[in-house]
Amino acid sequence: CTTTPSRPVANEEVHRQHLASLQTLQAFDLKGRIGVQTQKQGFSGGFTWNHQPATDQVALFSPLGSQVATIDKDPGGVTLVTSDQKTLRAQDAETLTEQNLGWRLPMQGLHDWALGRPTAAPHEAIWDEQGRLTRLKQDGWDIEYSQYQRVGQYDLPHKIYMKSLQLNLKLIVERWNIDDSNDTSALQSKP
Amino acid sequence: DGPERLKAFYQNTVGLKAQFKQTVSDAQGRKVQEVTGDMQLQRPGKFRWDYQKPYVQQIVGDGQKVWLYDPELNQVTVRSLSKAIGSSPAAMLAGSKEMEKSFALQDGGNQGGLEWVKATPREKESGFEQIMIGFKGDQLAQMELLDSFGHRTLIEFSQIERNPTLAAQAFRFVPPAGADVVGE
Repeated sequence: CTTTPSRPVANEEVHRQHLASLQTLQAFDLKGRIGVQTQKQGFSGGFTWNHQPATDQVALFSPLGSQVATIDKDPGGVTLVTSDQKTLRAQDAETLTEQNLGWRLPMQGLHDWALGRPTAAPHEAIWDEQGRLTRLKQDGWDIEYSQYQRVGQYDLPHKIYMKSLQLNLKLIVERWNIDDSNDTSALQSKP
Repeated sequence: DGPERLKAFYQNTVGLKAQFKQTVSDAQGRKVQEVTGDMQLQRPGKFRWDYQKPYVQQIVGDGQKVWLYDPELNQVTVRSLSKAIGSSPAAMLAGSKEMEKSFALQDGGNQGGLEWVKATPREKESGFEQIMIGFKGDQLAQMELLDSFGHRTLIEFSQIERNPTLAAQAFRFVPPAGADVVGE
């Protein structure tokens, strides 16, 4: 695998500053489209995702707007509800989606990656002149960030292509709603 | 009544061209999506839905397969038409025989100046609880889809041309070079 090409140190500083600017982001709500590809099958359609520090709510939609599935994560585990109203539960999203949808949703690191920042695990990164990630290799994933969009004071990804041996995920974020108030009381009041 | 309208629609509408507006609202009635585009259909089994705004997407039924292409995702998802019939209203409109097999038909009464037929999918996995098709006379006017999460998709047709001459090309789909083609 490629080592990080030599970059002027200042650039590293710019990258560090960009990541620091994302530090305050603990919760978000996004709407967009998702493309899922495994060796055998694929899906493409709409998706919404509400992320809070302790919970995640993901919904998948067909092109006709009908809901195909919901994936809800809380400290106790993850629940998947499918369009034929089957409810399935597991300890984590990875095993749950693999058993029922045939592909592993990497929920663990996904919210950091969606924001354009690595998790704490070892990783390799390439960034652009504004310090924004353009390529991130971490936890067996090779993630490309091809477009960013300005959301308030933040630069957040618009188009993300995540590749792993088993699964490719393409995300297009049509709309970000950012909730970066630090005091958790504000978060609690969220419905 | 409704089912009669639908049978008449299948009999005397071999081809169709129209614009559509698709509005999706969630279980609380909040609008979550509005997409516009145009569609064509050619019996049996051929149809094309071109979503234009706010994003581009194409659904093409070529008689055997249903192709779903999202240019921004650069992904083509392919399904066999027979499998798609139960879950894709576009395929349902274009096919008459499969319709009876996949849906139980009932009269949906008159509402909003339209005569409705209620189509309830026979098998659960279609993803829809119920599909309503509304006719003005024997002219297709609206479709309403209710999914098992309470989402309601309303499709309103306009600028309808019945039995226009349609280019066969419209119902052929060739995946663009470089697009990821994925089976379902």
